[in-house]
Amino acid sequence: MNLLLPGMYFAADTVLHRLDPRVKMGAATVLMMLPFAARHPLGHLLTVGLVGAAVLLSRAPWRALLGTLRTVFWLGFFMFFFYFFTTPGRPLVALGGVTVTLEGVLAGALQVYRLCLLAVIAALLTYTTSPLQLTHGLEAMLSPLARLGFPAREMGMVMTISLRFVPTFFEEIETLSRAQKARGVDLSSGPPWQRIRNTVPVLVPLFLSAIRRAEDLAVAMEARGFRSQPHRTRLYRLTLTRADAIAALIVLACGGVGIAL
Amino acid sequence: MHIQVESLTHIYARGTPAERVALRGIHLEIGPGERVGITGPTGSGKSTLVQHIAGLLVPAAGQVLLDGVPAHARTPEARARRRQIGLAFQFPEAQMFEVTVFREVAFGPRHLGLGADEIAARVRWALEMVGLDPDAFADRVPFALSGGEMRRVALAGILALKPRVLILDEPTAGLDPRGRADILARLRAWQAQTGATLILVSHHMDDMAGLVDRVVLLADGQVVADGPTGHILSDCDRLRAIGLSPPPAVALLEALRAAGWPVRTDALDVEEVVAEIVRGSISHKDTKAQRI
Amino acid sequence: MPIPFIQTRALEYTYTAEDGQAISALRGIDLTVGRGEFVALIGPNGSGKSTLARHFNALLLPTAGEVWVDGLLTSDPRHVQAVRQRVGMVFQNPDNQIVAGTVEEDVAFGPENLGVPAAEIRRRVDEALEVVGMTAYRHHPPHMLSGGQKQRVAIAGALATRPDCIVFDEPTSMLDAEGRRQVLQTVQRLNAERGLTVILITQNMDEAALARRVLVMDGGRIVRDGPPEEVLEAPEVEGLGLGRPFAAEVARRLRERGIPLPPGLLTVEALAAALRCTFR
Repeated sequence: MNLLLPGMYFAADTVLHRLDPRVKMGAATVLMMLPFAARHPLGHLLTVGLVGAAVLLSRAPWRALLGTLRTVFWLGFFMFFFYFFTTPGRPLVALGGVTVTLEGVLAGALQVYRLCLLAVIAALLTYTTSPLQLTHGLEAMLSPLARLGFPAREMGMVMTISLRFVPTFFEEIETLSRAQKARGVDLSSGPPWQRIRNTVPVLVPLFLSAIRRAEDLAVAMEARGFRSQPHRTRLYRLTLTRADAIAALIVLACGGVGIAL
Repeated sequence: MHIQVESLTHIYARGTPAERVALRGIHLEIGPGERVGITGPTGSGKSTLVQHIAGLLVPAAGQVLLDGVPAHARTPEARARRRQIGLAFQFPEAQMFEVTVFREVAFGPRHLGLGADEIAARVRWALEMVGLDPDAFADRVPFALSGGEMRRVALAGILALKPRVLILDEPTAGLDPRGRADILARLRAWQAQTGATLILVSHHMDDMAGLVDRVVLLADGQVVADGPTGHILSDCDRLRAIGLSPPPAVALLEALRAAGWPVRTDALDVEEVVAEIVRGSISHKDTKAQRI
Repeated sequence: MPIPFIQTRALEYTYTAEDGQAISALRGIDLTVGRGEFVALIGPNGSGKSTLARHFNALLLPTAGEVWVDGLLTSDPRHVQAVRQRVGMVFQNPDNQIVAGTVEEDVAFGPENLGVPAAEIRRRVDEALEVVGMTAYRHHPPHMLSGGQKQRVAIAGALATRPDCIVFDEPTSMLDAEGRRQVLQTVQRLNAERGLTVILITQNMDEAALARRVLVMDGGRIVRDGPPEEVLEAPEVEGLGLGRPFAAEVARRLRERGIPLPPGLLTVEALAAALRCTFR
């Protein structure tokens, strides 16, 4: 696997890794809104600057982040061309019957820029926050709803387990693809309908193994006392530190300025 | 088929924090019909190496040549050679997906574009080869079988490809002693019948002792020893140095030798060991007697 | 006789298979396991080993008869948590028992479930990881560990609830030789140094030879119970197709050739020593 997939946490000890997950999730939400909400170029500059600073602080390798961008590249590419050709305005060049406008280029570029920022922010969040921390954060944010009967704790557990098994499943998909390739299945060529059919030998065993894992896991969790007590405690209690407060203030201030400009 | 591995290097997760070099410039040649074992500690690169031989991975540097053609190339010649290699992954039953044993075993041959009669004949032959009665098993649901039976069905699915090179990655992992011994005997018979190349990846020294003539020892992505099975597996010091335990037979003879018994240490199966101890005990008594 | 820790009385377990047939998995088991014992549980596939083991921490409850753990009746719902705290379990597949995304968070899962305060969880996690030698990996995600390391994490996870006993259900069958050695060494050390009661289910006779007591199951019954030296060489155990420890097999054939050897030679070391003795 050559990309930093969502859900791929990498253990390190940086300021960003140490921040409270609630703060990180809140900050990520604000930052993800900024590229859409900001109108003034300075607002965008501020956003990029802030995300850039976060990238530096996270010590995430450039290659890995670029790998993340590659996953959204094709979507961005399509959007770019969509705006490119369909936005009316000052014509730049005419290609055949289609006129490319300055507004089109700008609008297309804006969409690609937004998409890339979203991808980088999401990757940064999962890169610096362990799955369990993410879950704790989510649970904490949902906890007001728990009083209304919303199963926040169960949701948290479901999320923990899903995230825990993301890398396992990717490994499994890779192994299964190779194994079926060794049995003569060609997964990468042929007409589309055949390619779809050729995924069956990968998807069926994957599905069966997921069921087996789920059964095993349920027994293992029960054996370790899951649900034998109404209230679970936590190894990590979320406590806000000064760094958290500072980070939250910076992001909020920048967000306010970015939108107000 | 002639297999040449030339300065083969493989790097996992290149460019990410998890980057890991799995193979470091491996050289290896395997001739047609050879029976070769590949062993080494966890993470030594055994599985990666055989997946390269089957053309499933793209080398970071170096290459694997199958009769002179790069194994991973996207050319018709390369594809034709890859089709002659059968590779059974670890826990191959985890790859089963068909609704009957027949369809599961026929899956590979069907992808070779064979006719229905030929496919049926191969399925029969392959099931018999692994010791399952085709009439009793062909229509059963693979997932309702016992662990050992599932393993056999999965292996039959590979044998039905009639490969000229068969690569088995830990074929006995997780089986009970009886199941293990049986699978090994079946594979031995298959090899004798077809004369094909057999490459066995295993950390089970005992499995190798009965099945291969040559052992390649890997450690940290490099070949650290390559030679006749008895010779490699009786080199206790080298095995221990890379974190492997010698087979119990060798350990026993080594202990006796250390106590002054005149025994060879390269006997590998129980009967050989017993014979060696009996022989050793007699001459040991004689030398003692002479000294007195 | 050590203080009884697990006791079963006329334990029966019957379940209904998918085709509606009633299947007796356990047929009248009377067993006492003492505190601090190291017991190996062997038997052919389907003989009821795992089913029996799952009664020891209330994952399964008897259809008839009783199971007592440390004086607590497992079928009493009020005791479930206390029983699970006392008896931990480690399963076969290293991947399918790790719940959390990092090693230390997984080890914390058990104590979290039992409502242990955070500072105490911290202490237990650190100690458990130290005991299995995985402290250096505490922030690693499980998919970056080897099979043997994952099993050691699972053992740490069981230890973190401070159990008196751990049931190991074929913990090495999916591991390579190195992982197997790591896990077995840990198991032996926990028993010898910490007095942990160990129940080890295994298919491997060389592993069973490590225990001080071996139980043989067949068809839902315990058919043999005794020290490994007696049990592993018994002819009726041979008949179950479980094989013998390598050294025991060599010793048997040497005796057949007229070499006088004492009984109960189960390890290579013991056999080599006996041979040296015989031909001194």
